[in-house]
Order: sequence, then C-alpha cells, then structure tokens
Amino acid sequence: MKTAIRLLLIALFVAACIGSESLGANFRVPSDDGWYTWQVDASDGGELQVYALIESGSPTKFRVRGSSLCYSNFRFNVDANDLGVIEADESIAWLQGFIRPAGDLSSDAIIAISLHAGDLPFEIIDRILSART
Amino acid sequence: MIIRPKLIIATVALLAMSASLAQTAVSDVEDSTEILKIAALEALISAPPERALPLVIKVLDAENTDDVKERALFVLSQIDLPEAQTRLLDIARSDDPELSSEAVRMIGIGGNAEALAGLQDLYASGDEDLREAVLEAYMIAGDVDAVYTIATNASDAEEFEGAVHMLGVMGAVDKLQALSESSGFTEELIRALGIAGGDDVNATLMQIYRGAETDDVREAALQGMLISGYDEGVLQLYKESTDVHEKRDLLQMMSNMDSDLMMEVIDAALAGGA
Repeated sequence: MKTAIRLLLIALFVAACIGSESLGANFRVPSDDGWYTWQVDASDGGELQVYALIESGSPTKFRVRGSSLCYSNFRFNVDANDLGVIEADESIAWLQGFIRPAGDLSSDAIIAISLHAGDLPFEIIDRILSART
Repeated sequence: MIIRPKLIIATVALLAMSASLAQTAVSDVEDSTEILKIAALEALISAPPERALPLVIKVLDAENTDDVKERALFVLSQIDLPEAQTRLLDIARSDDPELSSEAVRMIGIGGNAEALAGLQDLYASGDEDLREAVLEAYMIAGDVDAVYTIATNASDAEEFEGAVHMLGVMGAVDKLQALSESSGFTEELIRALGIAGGDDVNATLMQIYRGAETDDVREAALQGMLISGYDEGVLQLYKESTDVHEKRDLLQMMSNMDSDLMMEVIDAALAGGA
C-alpha cells in the first residue's frame, strides 16, 4: 500500500514537472467554432502568423504564414479572430497537444511548430524522431 | 485439483485474443510512430541546414523502417552542406541495396556536382540495380555528359544500350549522333533517337531506313518513327515503295500509329493510284 502511494506521488510529481515544462503555458485557442489567428516569432527571424480552424470545439486545421515561409495555399485568406501576439513557446505548447494521434492534423501541427522561433521546435522534432519504431 | 475443460478452452481463447490484440496495438503504434517521424522529417526541409543535418543523420543511424530512412535521405539531399552530400555518397556506397539505390537517386535530385561526379566510380563497381539507379540519377540531374561518358566507357553491349536508352530519354540527340560515329547506328541507338524525337531525328530516321542493309535496322528505324510519332515519314516511305510486302508493313505501321494519314492512302487506293 505504501509503495502504491509512493508511486502515485512520484507519478504526480513527474506529471507536474512535465506540465510545467511544456504544458504550463496559459495560451489556449477558444473552443467556439471558427478561424483563429495569432502572431509569434518565426524561425527565420521574422513574424509567423498561425491559423487554427475550430470545428465542434476542436481544431481541425492549422495553417502558417510568414515573411519567407508559407505552409498553406498561397491564396489562403480567411476572416479569423485575432488573438494577438503570443510567445512562441506558448503557441508551441498548445499546438503540441495535437501531434497525437497521428494524422493530417498532427502533420499540420508538426510543420507549424517547426516554423516557430527557438530551440523547442527542434527538441520536439528530435523526440519524435528518436521514438522507437 | 479438478480440471475443467471449458475453463481451459476459455483461458486459451482469451490468451489468443489478447495476443492478437497486443499484436494489433504494437502494429498501430509502429504505424503511428512512422507517420509522425515522416511528418517531422518533412518539417525539417524548411529548417536551417545546420540544425536539420544532425537530426536527419540520427534517423539514418538509428533503427528505422525503410520508408522513414528513405524520407530522411530525401531531406538529406535538400541540405546544402558538404557533409550532407558526403553522407549521401557514403550511403550510396553502403551494402544496403535498397538504401544505396535510393541514396543514388537522391544525389540526382540534390544535383550537387561533386556528389554526381562520385557516382561514376559507383557505376563501375555496382550491380545492375545500382547502375540503373546511377543512370536515373543522372537523368534527374540532367547530366547528359555523365551518361555519355558511361556509354563511351561501356564494357559490354548491355551497359551501352542502357546508357544509350537514357540519352534518348534525355533528348540528347547530339550525343547519340556522336556515338553513332564510333558504333554505327545500332538498333538501340536508332530507337533512342526515336525517343528523343524532333525534326532532325525524323530526317535521320528516314535516312537510316532508306540506307538500311538489314531488316533489323530497317525495323528499328520504323520503331523509332513509331516512338516519335512521325507518321508523315512512314507515309512518304509508303509512297516511295514499290514492294508489296514493304507497303503492307508500312501500312500496318501507320495503323499502329493510329495515323489520320491513313485516309490519304485509302483515298489514293480508291482513286486507283495506290
């Protein structure tokens, strides 16, 4: 019994540590349906415009536009609710939650993350690539 | 201890089911991991090369599926750093036949001059699949001179024909003409001219047909016209011919080409001028 409680406490501690590192950010896209957009620092030193489409309360598409980067149809243009300027790591932390399960959305999320500024995108990509097949 | 057959059967069935479910789960996890890895590799294409390179190399060095490694090779080919090209050549020279051929093709896609030059040695020492991959790489890179070098250095007819065919695919008429000066118009060379196509080629094919000393060469010239879609030439030869068998063969060729000019022949025949 004591061992079980100890294991539970360790698990909670580890979860808290992981949470504080990658999910502790406050940024969240509202769950009301529609397109949302926000700006972050881009990996090329410019500004990155991130778009998310929320349908039935969950994201179904991510699109990214930047000064020298564009991962979307070049004519991509939607009326989106502007959430303003967000810290790159906070935006990444939110996007990271949609990498799994593997599918179209996860590819969009990975691409979007990779275009954010900082080391975190490469740490995430490294973790994905290091997973045992 | 009482042995209950039903319980044993149920236990065995449950174990079998759980083993099957576990297998499915493992397979799903593998698929999911692979999909994510491929997406992550694709994301690296737009990353700064010095940051992408170590991650790609890590994937190639680790245990990964061929699909993942092949995608990594593509990303590697897009990294404009000498180390990336060196690494591609190393893999091209490796003992892994699948990855080796893929690395060769990726060198073609990357188009790095030094790496492309390194493929000549590989061609000389490689097996049939690798030689084919090298020719494809040169085709992708549009390196006509390299394929011409292979043709001129060919050690047997098969090698020569492979390179000549590729020159045809690449539309390298001048190189094919140059080869004909030393080897004459071989059947493969004539067909390659047909693949290359063009007005000059059509004129050459007519010349070859008219001057052919063997049926094989004549047939190859016709095949060349078929490939290049030169039905006007075939009609011209039909009109010139006085041999019934030859006329029939040429007519058959026009039919094979689905040529609209067949109507001209039919009209002439109906008018009694055939």
